[in-house]
Amino acid sequence: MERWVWVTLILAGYLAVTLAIGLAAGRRSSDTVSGYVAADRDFGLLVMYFVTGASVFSAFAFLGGPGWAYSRGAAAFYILSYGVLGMAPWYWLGPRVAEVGRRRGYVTQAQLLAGRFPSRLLSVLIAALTLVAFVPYITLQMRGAGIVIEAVTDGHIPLWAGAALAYGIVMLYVIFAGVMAVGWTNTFQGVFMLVIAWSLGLYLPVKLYGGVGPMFEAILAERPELLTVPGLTASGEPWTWGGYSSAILVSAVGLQMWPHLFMKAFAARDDDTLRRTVILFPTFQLFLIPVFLIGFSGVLFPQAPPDGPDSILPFMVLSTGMPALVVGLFCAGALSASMSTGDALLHGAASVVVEDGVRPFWSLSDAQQRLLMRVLVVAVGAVAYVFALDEDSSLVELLLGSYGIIAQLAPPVVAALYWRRATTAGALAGLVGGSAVSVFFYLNGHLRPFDLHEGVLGLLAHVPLLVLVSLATPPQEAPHVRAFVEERGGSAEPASPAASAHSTPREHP
Amino acid sequence: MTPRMPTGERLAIAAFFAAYVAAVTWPGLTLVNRVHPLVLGLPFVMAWIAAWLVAAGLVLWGVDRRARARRHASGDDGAAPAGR
Repeated sequence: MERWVWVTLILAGYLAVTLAIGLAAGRRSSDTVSGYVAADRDFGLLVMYFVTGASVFSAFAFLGGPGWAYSRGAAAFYILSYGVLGMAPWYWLGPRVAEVGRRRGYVTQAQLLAGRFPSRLLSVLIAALTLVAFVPYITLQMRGAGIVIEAVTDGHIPLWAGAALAYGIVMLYVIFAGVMAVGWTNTFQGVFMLVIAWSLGLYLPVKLYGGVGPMFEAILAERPELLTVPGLTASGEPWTWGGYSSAILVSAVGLQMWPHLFMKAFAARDDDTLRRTVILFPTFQLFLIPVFLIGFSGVLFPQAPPDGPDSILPFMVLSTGMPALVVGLFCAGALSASMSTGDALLHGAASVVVEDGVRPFWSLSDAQQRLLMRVLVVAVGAVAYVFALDEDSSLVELLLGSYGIIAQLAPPVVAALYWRRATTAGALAGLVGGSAVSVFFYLNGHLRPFDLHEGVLGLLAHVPLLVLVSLATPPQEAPHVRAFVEERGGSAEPASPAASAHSTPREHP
Repeated sequence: MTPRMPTGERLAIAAFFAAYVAAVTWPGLTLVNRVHPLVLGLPFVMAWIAAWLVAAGLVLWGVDRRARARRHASGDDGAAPAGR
């Protein structure tokens, strides 16, 4: 049999196992919104570890990471720098978020924000923002899956069919099993990603250069510009220090603010689970090292990947004469990276639109909410799929741009939980002003001072606006604030017995 | 919720993460921006960034151990769903 047939069989096996895990996992959660969106707040450490790691590292890390190392060299190190910086505050923030969520029945980020800062506008803004940021993100995951499948099957399964197959399966398990399926499939996919990245990342340098050290010596001799930070831009010019440093800052601030990651705080079983997830996150993050090694191993390879730097990983696997089994497993690893982020995004987008975009205006029963979420999973998936078939690279731009806006969610979250004097007007002014500045500099990139990321510039406008407008408006009432901000040396408002119940109606004091 | 962290420890943690940010961005990173000596085969600057990442994990682990000890001393295991 030809290699691509074997590869296709391995792939089919992988997809079947994923689907089985996803569907089986759903039987473990209750038929409620809290069950569908927050897993009845019962994810343990194993699932939280992998759901966090595998959701953070998407097809962008698995395919784009090697692509960056290959074409932009040390610029890729920024990806290695921000993850833990972004995750560490979550050691303190995460349990606070989870505690308020349990007490007030929240399952999304916007519910928390609109709880402290009562405003339907705020809620809808965040829902819209989430959708705008998620569609290109999901689209890229789908394209990633399609590209990999097309490459390893020698084109026998074209991009449109591969993407449809992989994401048909994702939609099935997300629709039927919600976040439980996301959690358990991510566990399976996370293991796959780690094993494939480490084995391939260590194997390729040894096979092609005789070791990691010799590989870097060889690159240093021929392409020294690739090994010095800040590396190169996509067009091969030297990148700026301002661009490199501010990319780290905005990514660190924005990381946990991505709604699909933030929401998982509501799914954790207890505070210790959340804290341990943060402590263990660096062990997952280290897998970027072999991911970069894969990209670097292609630098001095005689041929260049035909479909651009992002296909360096499948290209290296296919051109170094590996057996079909290895190619198939690698493909499953790349699919894992794509699907484990795509499922969390689809699920997150549907949950946020219903909880924050629809429910503030129409009251829906628990069953109606879940039905609407499932419809939206299909709708969002379909829209992303249409974009995925369109070879429009501006989507990557859109995704990078959305990071600047997502980072604007950080100041109101911190203010909601730690700053007594913050007001609704302040939060809204900061969010709108910060996002506007961010979008302005995104559209007018040449005006950015020191090549700073537009998200950092947005934050520079956001924080003063939040503070000044808050101080200029009347403070919130003390009992309301006490429900969110912990008393010094004491505890926040004690839990009422009914509050931990599923999806209690949102309180608007 | 939990017994408060001593002020000294708060400052130390803040200092560590401030140093982390400074060490992996401009201008801190310019001081170690070189390939040699290779560390475990990796360019020095890449190993430097990875080392901070590992150190941050260890620091958080230490913070957690101390927080646990404080909770234990105050008779709270911190694992109950209500957090207290």
